[in-house]
Amino acid sequence: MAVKKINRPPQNWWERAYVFEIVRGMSITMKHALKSWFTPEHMPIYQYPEERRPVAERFRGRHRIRRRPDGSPTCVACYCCQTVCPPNAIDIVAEECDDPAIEKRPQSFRINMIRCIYCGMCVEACPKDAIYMSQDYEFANQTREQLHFELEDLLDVEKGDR
Amino acid sequence: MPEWAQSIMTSSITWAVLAGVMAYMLTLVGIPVYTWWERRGAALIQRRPGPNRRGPYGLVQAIADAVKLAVKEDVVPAGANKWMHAIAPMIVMTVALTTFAVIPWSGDIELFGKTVRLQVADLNFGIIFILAISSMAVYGVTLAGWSSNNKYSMLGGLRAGAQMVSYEIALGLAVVGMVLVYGTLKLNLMVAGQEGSLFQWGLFQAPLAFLIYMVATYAETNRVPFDLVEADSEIVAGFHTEYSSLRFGLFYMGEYVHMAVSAVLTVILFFGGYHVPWAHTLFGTTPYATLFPWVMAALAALCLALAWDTSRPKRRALTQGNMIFAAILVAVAGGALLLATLYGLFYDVAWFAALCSMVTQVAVLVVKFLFFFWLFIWVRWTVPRFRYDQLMKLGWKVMLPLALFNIGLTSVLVLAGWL
Amino acid sequence: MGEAILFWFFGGLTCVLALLVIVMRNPVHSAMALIGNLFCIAALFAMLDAHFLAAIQVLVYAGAILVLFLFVIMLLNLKDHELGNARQTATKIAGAILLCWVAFKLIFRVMPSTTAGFPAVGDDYGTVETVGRFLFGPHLLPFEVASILLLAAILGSVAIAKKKLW
Repeated sequence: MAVKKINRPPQNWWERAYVFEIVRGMSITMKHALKSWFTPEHMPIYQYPEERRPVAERFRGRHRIRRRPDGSPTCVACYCCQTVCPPNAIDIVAEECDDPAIEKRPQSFRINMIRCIYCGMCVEACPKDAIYMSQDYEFANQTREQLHFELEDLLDVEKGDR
Repeated sequence: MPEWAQSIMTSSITWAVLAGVMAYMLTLVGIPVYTWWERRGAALIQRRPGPNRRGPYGLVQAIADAVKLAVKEDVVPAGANKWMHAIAPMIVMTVALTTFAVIPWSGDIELFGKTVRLQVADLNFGIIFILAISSMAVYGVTLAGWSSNNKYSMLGGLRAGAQMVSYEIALGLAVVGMVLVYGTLKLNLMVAGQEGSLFQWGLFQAPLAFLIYMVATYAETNRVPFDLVEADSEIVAGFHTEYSSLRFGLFYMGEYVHMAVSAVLTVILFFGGYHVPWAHTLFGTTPYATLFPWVMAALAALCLALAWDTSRPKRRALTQGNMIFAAILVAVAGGALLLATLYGLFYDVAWFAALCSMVTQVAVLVVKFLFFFWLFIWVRWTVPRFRYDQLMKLGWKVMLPLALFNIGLTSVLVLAGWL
Repeated sequence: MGEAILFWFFGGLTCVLALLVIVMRNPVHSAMALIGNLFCIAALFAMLDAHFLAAIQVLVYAGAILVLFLFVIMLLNLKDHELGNARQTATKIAGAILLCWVAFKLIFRVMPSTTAGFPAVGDDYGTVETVGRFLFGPHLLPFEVASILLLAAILGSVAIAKKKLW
């Protein structure tokens, strides 16, 4: 590998004595420390559980599946999302539906949230606009199995979700 | 005052034990607070709150960390030298604690015709004792590195050996300069030599020695910018890579105790120890006794301010612990004010006034000590780490000649009668 | 009484550690035993009221020189087979006999002597001032000779360490 020589600007004696520059740097850090201590409300931080970072309108969080007015899932088990899913996180089992207008419905609809890369392509692919991505990103869990979301975990909650 | 109480109060053993208690307060009891302080200080400098959840100001976090450390699994790596692996952290801790034996916490006070002082051992070679004992600290780190059977540990240990021996020389020579200035090796006489005006302080007597001493101290305690020994971006964690549980805890505590002893020593050598500048001109013949109520009032004011701050609504919900803490602070403030009142009533009782002046002196020393402890933290989160060759160059080509020059200069000035 | 206990404790420890220095197979263990040994000797110095000497013993020998010993041993990092075979039994026995003879002679030389003949030491005995006055007074010549020796050693190490001297 070729050596790349960086020409740094020459230091004057004041900078080379090092001590004075250290004092200057320390005054800067002290300024910050005092600012943080006396005006904690101006810290560029969120006190997480009490305060949450506002997420963008189009933020892609956990998946949700819309319900029909009668409460059943809008999904018709067309396998579009499963086919398009890059990491193969979606696993659908279809079954016949009694309603002749609908024909098919998912017997089970499982998303492996560990595999999911939150790309949103399932949402793009859905012909029924059944699946969408909510702004919820807090679904950490104790085991891997608990992060395999089933249909009931994915269905829209009654009172809208964040 | 009954006879037995007098004999207890004038016994040198009592005061040695009290001085030991003082040292343990500042080290073993202080360590949780120091770790918390380090983390909060780092956070404040970086514009974030740091540990602020468990307990008031997040203070309980430190205890939680200590408990976590104590109950962790103690892993000894395969192929490690078991004995040396076990002994190394003990050496670090023992050495750091032993140096406190010669620290004078207060000046002489007269009690029932006897002179006592808050100091464990008044050795006539006090400062050499500290240098000798702290020179043993390098073994702990070096052995830890060697015995872990790990390349990174080994590198850390070797770095420690080279670095600490190199900077010990500069440190010792800077101290020799101060010995020339004060004309004694006894620490209590060194502090006594700084009585009077501000310009009697070692800092103003020998500023060059102060500079060398500070740099060498940071290198000796393996703190940033000289933490090559545990440079985590280069050699994982250096000498304590293979340490866990309480053995790691001992290294961790040893570092803080070492910082504490360095901070106290800095105060004693260069910042007038327990003296307040111009004390005698400003506050009469018994300045420290006169200052006592003011110190107590300041303590009460600080406690009340903190209590107000804790009970004030913040961005987070108030916990019950905060209210208890505030209550304790108010109680402390009340006690301080009570003591101040007692002084106002009994200031003409000789032994009470003497004890009050001792408390004042200890308080002055502790305040200065806290500043230098904060300096350690402050520097750590400001200055980046040195490269190894820069470290060695600085130690041998800059610090050592400067220290020698300082000795020559100081000798000339002392002989000329200017110091 | 207390002094006697301390003397026997530190004296015995000194002997044990000195034995360990030569008996231990691992050189790092030997070096550690040597450090402990020097420390105990410092304690014995302190008991003889030679406080300054004790501190300097710890500072220079235990604190500085042994670090370099340890440093070199650790850098070499000898494996077990590189340490060589154990000595033959005959050599060991001969060594032990020789050691016993020397120890016997020494002990019988030292034992009859008492402290009765020595004057009690003053308060300033062994302090920095006294040692300094002795060093720079009656013993100035040996002191200077020793410093010249050290200077020669420094020059020698520089000559070895530097590839090109000029």
